[in-house]
Amino acid sequence: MNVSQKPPTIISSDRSLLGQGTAPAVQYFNYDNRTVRNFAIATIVWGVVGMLVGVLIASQLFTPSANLGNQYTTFGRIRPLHTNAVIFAFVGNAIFMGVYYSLQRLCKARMFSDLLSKIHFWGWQAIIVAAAITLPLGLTTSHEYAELEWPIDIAITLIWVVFGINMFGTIINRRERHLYVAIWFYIATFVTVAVLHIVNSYEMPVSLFKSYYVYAGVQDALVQWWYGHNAVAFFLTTPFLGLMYYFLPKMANRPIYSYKLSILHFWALIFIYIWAGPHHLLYTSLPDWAQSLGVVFSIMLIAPSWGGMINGLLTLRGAWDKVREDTILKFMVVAVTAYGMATFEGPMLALKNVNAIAHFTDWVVAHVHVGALGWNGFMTFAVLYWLIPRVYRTPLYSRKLMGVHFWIGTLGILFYAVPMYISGFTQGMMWKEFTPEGVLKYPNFLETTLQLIPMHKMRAVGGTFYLLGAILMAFNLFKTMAAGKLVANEPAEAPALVKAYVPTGSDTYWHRWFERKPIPLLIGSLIVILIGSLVELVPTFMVSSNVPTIASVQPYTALEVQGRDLYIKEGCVNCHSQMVRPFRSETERYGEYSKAGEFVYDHPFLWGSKRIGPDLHRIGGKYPNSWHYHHMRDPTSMSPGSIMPSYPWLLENKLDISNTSDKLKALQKVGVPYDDMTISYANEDLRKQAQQLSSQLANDGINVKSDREIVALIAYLQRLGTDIKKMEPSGK
Amino acid sequence: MNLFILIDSGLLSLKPAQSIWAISSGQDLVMLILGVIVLVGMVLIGLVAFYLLLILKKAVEPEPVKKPVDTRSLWQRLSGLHSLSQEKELVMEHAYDGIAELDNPTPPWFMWLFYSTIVFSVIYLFIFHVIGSGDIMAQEYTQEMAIADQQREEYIRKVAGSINENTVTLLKDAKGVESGKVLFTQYCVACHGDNAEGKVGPNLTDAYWLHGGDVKAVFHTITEGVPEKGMISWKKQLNPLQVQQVASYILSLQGSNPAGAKEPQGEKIAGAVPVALR
Repeated sequence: MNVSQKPPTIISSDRSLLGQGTAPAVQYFNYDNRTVRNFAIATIVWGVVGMLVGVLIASQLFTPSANLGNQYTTFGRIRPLHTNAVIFAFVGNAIFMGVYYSLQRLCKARMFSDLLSKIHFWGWQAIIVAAAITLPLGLTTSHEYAELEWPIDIAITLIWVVFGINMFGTIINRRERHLYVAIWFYIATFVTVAVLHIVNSYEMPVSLFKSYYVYAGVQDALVQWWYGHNAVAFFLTTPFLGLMYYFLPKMANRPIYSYKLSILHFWALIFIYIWAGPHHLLYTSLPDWAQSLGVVFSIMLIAPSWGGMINGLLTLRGAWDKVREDTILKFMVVAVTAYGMATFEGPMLALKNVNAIAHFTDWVVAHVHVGALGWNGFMTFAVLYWLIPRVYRTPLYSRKLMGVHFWIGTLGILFYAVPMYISGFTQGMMWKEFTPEGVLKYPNFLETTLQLIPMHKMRAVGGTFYLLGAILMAFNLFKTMAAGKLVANEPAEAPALVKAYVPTGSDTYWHRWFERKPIPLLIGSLIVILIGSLVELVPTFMVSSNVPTIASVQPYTALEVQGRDLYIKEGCVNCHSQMVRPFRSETERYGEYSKAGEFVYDHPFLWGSKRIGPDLHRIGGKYPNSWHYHHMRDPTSMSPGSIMPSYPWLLENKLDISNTSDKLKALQKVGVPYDDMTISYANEDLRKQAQQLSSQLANDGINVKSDREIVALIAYLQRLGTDIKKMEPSGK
Repeated sequence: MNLFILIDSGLLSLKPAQSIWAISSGQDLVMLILGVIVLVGMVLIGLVAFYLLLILKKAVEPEPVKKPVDTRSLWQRLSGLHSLSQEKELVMEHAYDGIAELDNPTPPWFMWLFYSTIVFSVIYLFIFHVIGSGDIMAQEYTQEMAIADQQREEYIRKVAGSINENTVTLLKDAKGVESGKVLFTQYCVACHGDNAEGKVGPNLTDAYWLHGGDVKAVFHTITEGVPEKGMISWKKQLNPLQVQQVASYILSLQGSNPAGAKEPQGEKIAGAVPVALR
């Protein structure tokens, strides 16, 4: 083990009192290791589950039949399961494990309340189970990384508050005058995630498991990516920086390289990060000014995020000989390096000319997985390997196995990321390529998809390697646990904190004031993140010229609303974008580029973030109804070689129209101008349109009852992007 | 509304008539000179005050402790590193759960990186939103399309400049007809069927034609389209050479009698005899 057993040379929670008469009485207490252990086990279990689902969906991209032929395990529905499992179950539990372990020791205090710890642990697991049940059932709001329906959103809020109370209670009860940098990051994480989650989850419920976002179109997109980008920042980055600041110096037994650097990059990071969300929406219908803010703040983000990497790597200066021997430190070095790589790529992807090629392709997938597999995964592994033997007071079961895990995991990352970079670049270039005659070289989208299949196969191999490593770790750690005995209550001692305090020496440094006052630190972080949020969100909501309206754009009919909800339920948005960008290649391929005013009735927006199939915004009227019918029944019949799975259940399932009026009513409440007549006669209108569509299909020799789901879906697809065409004759 | 433009055009610019530089009388001149004198006086006073402040500060503050001579190499200074042996002096006087912190400065190269990204950002916003109109995407798109149009025209002039509706001839060489077939399969089968037997669009293999059946008429139909009947104009996607190839391929199919042929539409045109019979 790589931690020195000798006591640290400087121990004093209250230096000013040293040598001034009697020292404060030493208090004896226990650290709670049981909660830490519970979170550790949850991390391991959910990690393996999340990665397993990842491998499953990766293989569906070259073998569509890997969806096992049923709706519950089809890509559109379980891709959100994968992301949620990895982000909130695997990484989330890892955060809580690390926070509960380090916070107690950094505050020299037991967690505030054992009951709250228990509620927090079991509540979080219950939320994960709820997600694992609802997402395959198709109960989703479709906001990426926030797909869960409103009752679960409320549960998340409550549990997050429980976590906050437990954390702040501990901080208030501390026996250490100043808060260490790790705790700053925990505080910023807590407050920002709360703000993000609440603002992004404004929904109008229709029923227990159906709701519509209050925001529409461009506004909804901006809120979603303000949230999505900062979920990366404040769920996957800042808590892990906090963990790094505690565990890295512990593991290497080295002092932190620079206190000043930690102050600078902490404040700069949380201030700048919150602005950068619009870089996910470059070349969309988002107003130019918001896009430009996204670009410049992403560029300014390089240095603050690298600040964490530099402080980590320079902390290891003088300990490189240990890195060679200690696998745990190797995990940490790869993690910090992957962080540096991902945070360099992020700003590069925010440059518009790079984004024009890379966005919607596998390049982004590679980028996020360098972060997820490298930074989050490897650091979690390192912390687990370091912490489990300590709370069980026994050596690790097998160091050799840990070494194997390191190499197979590293190999997995390489096998994953490199093909995805190549794939993303290839596809991006193929989409844009024109022949000398001035026509698209690959007019058929499918040609570009088929080109990527070998790369997708290699990615699945890489993912399998990584999963295998995690399983090895699970085995290794469970063996370790079986061999030792949990020290559920670890005895500790520290002098009580004395109220009166006069700062001297380096404690007079300006930032030391913040570190003595957790609540001002909390408020300071809140103000710093609110500035960017307000500047970006408020003008888009308030200023109508940001979303120029188009007169011919009308609300969806009742049948189309139902069809749209099916589109959301099946997760079509995971593979198809609805955003034709203003590029020659896109307007040639799909038609007129998308305008902000076309999305004013879209609750939620469905622009998508990745194109596995072609864009659908102008699909309306492009093919006959029969084409869509056959395409959903068996995609390869219309597009040979297609990797889209077939959706036979849509042809058989009866459309649920019991809630049509409720849906329109809810949409009316969030601002869609349905009149009361339309709402009360919703189902009559719906049946009429469905009947019409069904008889059209019958003309083409397709007999399908008008009450089937496929009819509604076709109605929606045929409506997409057509409103704007109605104004063409009068325009000319 | 573009915020930067608002500031740029609305708030900062003064109306020309109110300009202080428009001197029209001796009184104006006196006022201007007085103004300049007052301004210069204020600057001078400010400078003096600042100088006094510096002196005072030196006098009041205790003598700073002399810093030890920095013996680091240029490289160490640039990278902001101290040698490991100096570490003991840098350890700060606190520790958390045994974790100590060093009082190292932020590395200079790191600060330069940070400053340069900030400068980049200011310039970026200035160029696009203060100097430019801020309408970035629309401008880029218009430009891209203009360049593409120009390139297409040049290309057409180069490879197919001589081919137009009046000069088009029926190609008989196998290579030309084969190219026509490839294009037909790519663009035309959706409406006219795999073997031109007719689907939504008419049968192209019989002698009946809606818009003329000689090569010139077919060339015209393909190029301009028949929008009211759903036949789109292909001139943006196919160049004249390609249209000639497709037209030749279609005419080569005359009398091929494919399976499932659609009923005849339009007039019978004798001129459109099958290639094979000529």
